[in-house]
Amino acid sequence: MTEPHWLTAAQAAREFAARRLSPVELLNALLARVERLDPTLHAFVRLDADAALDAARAAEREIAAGRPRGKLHGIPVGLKDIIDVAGLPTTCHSKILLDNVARADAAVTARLRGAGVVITGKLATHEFAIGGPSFDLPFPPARNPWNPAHHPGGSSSGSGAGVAGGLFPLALGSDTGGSVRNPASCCGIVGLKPTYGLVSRRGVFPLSYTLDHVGPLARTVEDCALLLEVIAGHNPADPASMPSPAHAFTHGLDRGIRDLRIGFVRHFHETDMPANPEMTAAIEDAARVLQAEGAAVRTIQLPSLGEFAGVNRVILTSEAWSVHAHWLRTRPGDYGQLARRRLLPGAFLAAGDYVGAQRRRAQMIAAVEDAFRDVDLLLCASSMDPASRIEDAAETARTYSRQARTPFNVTGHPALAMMAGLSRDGLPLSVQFVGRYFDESTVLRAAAAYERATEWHRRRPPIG
Amino acid sequence: MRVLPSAFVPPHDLVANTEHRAMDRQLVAVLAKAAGLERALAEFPDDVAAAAEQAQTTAAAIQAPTDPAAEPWPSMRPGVGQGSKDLGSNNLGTGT
Repeated sequence: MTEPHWLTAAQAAREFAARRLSPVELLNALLARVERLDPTLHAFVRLDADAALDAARAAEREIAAGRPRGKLHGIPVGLKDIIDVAGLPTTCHSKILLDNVARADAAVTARLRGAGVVITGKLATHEFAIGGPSFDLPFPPARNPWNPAHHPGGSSSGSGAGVAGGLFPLALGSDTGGSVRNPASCCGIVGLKPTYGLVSRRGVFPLSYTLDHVGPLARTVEDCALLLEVIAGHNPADPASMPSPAHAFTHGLDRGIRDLRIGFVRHFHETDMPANPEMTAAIEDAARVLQAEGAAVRTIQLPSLGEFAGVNRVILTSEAWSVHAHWLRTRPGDYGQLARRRLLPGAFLAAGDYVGAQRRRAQMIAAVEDAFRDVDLLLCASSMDPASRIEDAAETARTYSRQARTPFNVTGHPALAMMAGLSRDGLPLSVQFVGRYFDESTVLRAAAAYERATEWHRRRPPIG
Repeated sequence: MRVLPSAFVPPHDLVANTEHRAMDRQLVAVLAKAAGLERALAEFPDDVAAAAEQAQTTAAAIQAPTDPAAEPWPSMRPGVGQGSKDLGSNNLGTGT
């Protein structure tokens, strides 16, 4: 059997069913690994080992009694520390909210509990999901398991570092400008931003109401689909939540892609933001792999990355200002510098800027929807560069915005980032798949086909 | 309730004819105070100045539709507000 910490959620569930491994044994193996590696990775801001052990014991009893609750019963999951867990602080990795104890579970947390998932603790994030890797906060920033001198991406940084480092097989993050897909790209795993409205944001600390999404991170496409099946669903308490078709995201993952027409958005990484040559090679190779698997791949054109990024930034900073204005007025020194600098611009944007950006957004959505008349899926870059060194603030600032994730926060389409290679320096390279609204199944099917055709998901970071 | 200066003009309109030039520190101070950021201005003047610059640059980069009929996203729909229902699950009432 694979070492317990490298089992995927699907593999662990099969081991549970065959009585070769128990939820308590798995959790204990992971807790021992957390004790050994987290002083380096800093994925956790709060490990909740006692509650996790209680949940694992309960799962073990129920499974042994022949009452499995579902495919993820007894599987450990970590939650970004902007997601409420009743009785635990939701700090958002910030001094501002150190004492902010959640009174109730977030909607996604409640769904996880209902499925018998074991919640292991709260995970590092960039401050308020916007700050960036910072050293002036109450908790240290998470680090990249492939090389702890590098950042793991963010803002769901602990989610990416912990999944890639084998501290837990699954995690939840949030994605407002790419914050699930960035750590997935930097850490060599799979991260999915679902369609806007598919997963409830109730009980998740807001950054930008019309751009925020909650999504899964995992080491395989199948695990990502399994976690999405648990968290997807209509919630009337979230005004953006939409009724949607059945959520059988694991069905058809092995169907292949011979029927798919894929639009390759080359200008994102060729001319809009010319990518690092190794990243370019990985993305082009992914297109060849998909073609070899039988998909019809052709180049298409969307609005430029610069325009998407501008619209995202005006909307994000305007909405975030409405969340943070009180604290920025009364406690500006309690923010880290990066978050303060990224949130303050909202004070200087006018109402007309915001409405103008939302009007342009409608046109950009129409442009992407037009593209989907002729193709079933988009292929494009996620990051333009491998992860920078975490203590090189200038390089992090330079590379952080060089990405193609924000377009799909602006439009709300489902988008998945996954590993597509390793740089000469041993850092993950990545690619992104984007689908039609509520067509996560096709996104996952294409990602699964790419995964089967390559070996990248079998690589492990050299962290031990 | 905060009162804006009587001559309050949206910031990038004020500086529209000084595009790509550093914003005047006095103007930044006026705008920051209008936004209630006196404390941030006193403690972190460079952060406030950088934020004003960034807002100007970002807003200027967007090509808003010229068609007056082009509506914003999301479409306005009746009956989807939360009214006076409980707005959150933590002690801040900030859950979404």
